Amino acid sequence: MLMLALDTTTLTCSVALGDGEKLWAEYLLNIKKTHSQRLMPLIVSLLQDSGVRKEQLKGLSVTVGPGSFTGIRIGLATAQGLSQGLGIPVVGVMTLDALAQAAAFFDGLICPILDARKGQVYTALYRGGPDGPVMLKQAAAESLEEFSARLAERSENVIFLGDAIGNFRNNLKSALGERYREAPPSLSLNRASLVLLQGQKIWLEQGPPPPYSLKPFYIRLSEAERRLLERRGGGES
Amino acid sequence: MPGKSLILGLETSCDDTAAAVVLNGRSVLSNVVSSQDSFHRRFGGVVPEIASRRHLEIIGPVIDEALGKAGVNFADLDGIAASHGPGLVGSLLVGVSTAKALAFSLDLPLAAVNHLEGHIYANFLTGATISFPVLCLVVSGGHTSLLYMEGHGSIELLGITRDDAAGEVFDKVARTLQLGFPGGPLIDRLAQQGEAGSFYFPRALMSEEGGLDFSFSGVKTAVLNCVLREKEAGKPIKNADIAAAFQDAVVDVLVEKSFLAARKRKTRHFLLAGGVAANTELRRRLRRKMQEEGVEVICPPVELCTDNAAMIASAGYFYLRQGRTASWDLNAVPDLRF
Ligand SMILES: [Zn+2]
Repeated sequence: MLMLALDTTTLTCSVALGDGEKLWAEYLLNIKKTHSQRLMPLIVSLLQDSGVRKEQLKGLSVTVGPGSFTGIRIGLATAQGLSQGLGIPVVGVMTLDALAQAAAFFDGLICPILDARKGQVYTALYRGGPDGPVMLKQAAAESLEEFSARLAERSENVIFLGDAIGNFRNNLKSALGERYREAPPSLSLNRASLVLLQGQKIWLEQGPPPPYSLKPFYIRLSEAERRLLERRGGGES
Repeated sequence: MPGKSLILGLETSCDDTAAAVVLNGRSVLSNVVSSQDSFHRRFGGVVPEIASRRHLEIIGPVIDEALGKAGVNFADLDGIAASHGPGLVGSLLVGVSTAKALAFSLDLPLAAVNHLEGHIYANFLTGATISFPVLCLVVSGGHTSLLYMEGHGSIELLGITRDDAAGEVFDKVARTLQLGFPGGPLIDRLAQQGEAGSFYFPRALMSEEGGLDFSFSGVKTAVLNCVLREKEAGKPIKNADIAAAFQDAVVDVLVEKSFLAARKRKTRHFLLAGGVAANTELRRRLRRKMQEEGVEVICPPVELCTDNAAMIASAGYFYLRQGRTASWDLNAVPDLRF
């Protein structure tokens, strides 16, 4: 089933085209340029270069977060618009689920980490295996202390991947010692081919999603809502 | 685009999610506006992140509703138009990204409309015959500009506010008088029960060197000081009188500058646009004053003065007719100007 996948949730902007068997094409930019300017041109040239007409697409797949709020919305608005205009379903894929696929066959724990700012990471935990990663812990925004303490309790090797590695490498190494593993840079990037893979999987398991079922996964509330809750909480106690 | 041309317009520059279908740039087939007021009220103003989230949630259904109400399908459309600035960047990006994806999917040309220019085009939806060149006053919560339009796509800025926009000052004064939000319609209504002569508030930049520029921060401060003074004197605050006197001052300046522009540039028509164009006193006095110069004032109905997508679709129609199509790398421009 021919599917177009998009990812704009982190600094990388990428699109991929393929079916359940084969990746046909993938474009990826890992440069500081606004996704808004890059995404549509990438889609247009990916289809053109692959000799695929948009009418041949059977479905779409897009990362819904966690990640940059604006990045999430550019991806989702684009995917939703394509879905509406082409009349084809769109599957929402969790960013961390897609990224974990890059280390699918690692014998141990897989821990994707994305920069969530404010000293936190967006992270989840998986165990590698013959059928791909199995989720052990759902995505959340956590501080380094919280999640490295939890990882230290386990005895398995942990492979890290994702754009937050640079900031947290030293701390994680010292927390995990011998058990620390790190994916090579090329596997550490969010990429649409992984979103394609995950999207196909979800479609196969659950069938095509109904229109307007695509939902962003921000994890966090907006700052204004968070402050309002804090104030209310403070008033009650 | 000869004959019949249908444009789908999208508008997400602030906190209204809107979609509309317009025929030949002049007749509104549908005009759906989903207001987010209830989402922002508890924060006392528009929260950009919440606005962006809400736009994304409902833009799809809002588009479907606009098509449904117009009785058309995607296949009937001849173009897509979206505002790409000025406005809140996160909000704009939802509309721009959606518009690009739709235009690509449907093989339609895309128009990237300047939101301010969009406001002007609400006048083309009134059924009035408009002959260029025209003068135009755009007054809203974010802008106060006097413009000269030679023709479609040819706009000359004659004057602009040097500080606050007129609509912004209406909102702030409404807050000072504890009337609520948005301030424009509330002050408009209250002023009708007040006596404008009870107080006097300053009219700024009315001398020759002010040219056609505006300044409204002075009148805002004057109202605030007046309220404080009355309170200190232990007098009951005469909200209606203050509202009437304040509105009188702002309308005076807007009308006087418009009149000055009409003297300098001879046009047959004068177009009023933007949220503040809904103000009844401004409409009445501008019409009366312009009659002296033999200029006909055109203003959109109230529902087309505030943010809507029909005006964007109308502007988009004229953009596309001139070949002003946007490319796939179109971005949102939060500080876009004329
Ligand atoms: Zn506006």
